[in-house]
Amino acid sequence: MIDLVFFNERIFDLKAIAETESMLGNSAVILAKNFSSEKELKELKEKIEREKFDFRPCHLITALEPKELNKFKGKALVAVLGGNVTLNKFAVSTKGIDFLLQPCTEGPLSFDTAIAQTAEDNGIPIAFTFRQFLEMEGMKRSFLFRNYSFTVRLIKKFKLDCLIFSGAKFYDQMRSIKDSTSLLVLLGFTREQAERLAEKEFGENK
Amino acid sequence: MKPLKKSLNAIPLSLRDRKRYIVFELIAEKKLNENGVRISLNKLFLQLYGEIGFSKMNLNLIQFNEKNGKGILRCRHSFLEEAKAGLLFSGKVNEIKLIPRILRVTGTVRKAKELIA
Repeated sequence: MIDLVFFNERIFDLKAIAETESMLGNSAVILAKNFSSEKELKELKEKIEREKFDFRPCHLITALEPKELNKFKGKALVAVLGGNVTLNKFAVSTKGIDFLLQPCTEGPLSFDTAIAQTAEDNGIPIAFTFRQFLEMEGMKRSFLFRNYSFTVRLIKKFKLDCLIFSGAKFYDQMRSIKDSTSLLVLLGFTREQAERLAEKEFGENK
Repeated sequence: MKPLKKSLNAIPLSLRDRKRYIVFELIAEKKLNENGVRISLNKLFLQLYGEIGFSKMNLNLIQFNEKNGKGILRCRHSFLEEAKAGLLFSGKVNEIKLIPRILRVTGTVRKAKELIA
């Protein structure tokens, strides 16, 4: 089972990530980061090669810049950090994007049938992170549940691929992906669907 | 006059709740105490599912082993997914940060107790 963390060298250490993730039963980790240059990605790849654990670098697009995609395409996984309509549309309509991360926020709904249809046509998976739910509480969390429940309905209707990650920014936000499937069940998937989604092999090391 | 019976009659098998026992582990740097875990879990579930949801789930922390950080949480069998998901939301007990992990779900308390020993 594959997890994703928002990689920050000041907080995370590759050895410690490997140790924690193995303890939680996750077999691979996607290290998502908005790399400033190809050199930075290369340096991380060199560090990864020294580790025995399965780390997969991923460039995170956080603003609408198609040039970024060409820079990192084929060299690492490329994901778009969604959360607003523009970025969600860009993510699902651009070939070469590996997945759309965090399509919703607690604010207005940013995922609709048109986006779901485009995602289906281009085969772009939608990834949820547990951290989003963990960081919020009260009304904000309830709005987030509402938005994601609707997104799950669209995902089921259009038969899109869905992924669940912990999306940790700190060590204590890491979770077992197998356990996180319970969140998918709460959002509207059946237990079988949730297990199938979590077990799916995704994004082989580039 | 016949003296009143002090104990209640046993609930018939057909009316008893079916239960599940979630064996979990709280991975933390410091030792956690059972009372702190109980209070923080109750507060968390109450906040997440509300008073009615919490009552329907029939939640109870059966046991918490302070030495290895493993515990047993009982819930109604139809609310298993809610209980498992809720457990993952626990990130702090008495300001000590932790990572929760579900080890196993059992149908009997005896089996669950064997697992946390």
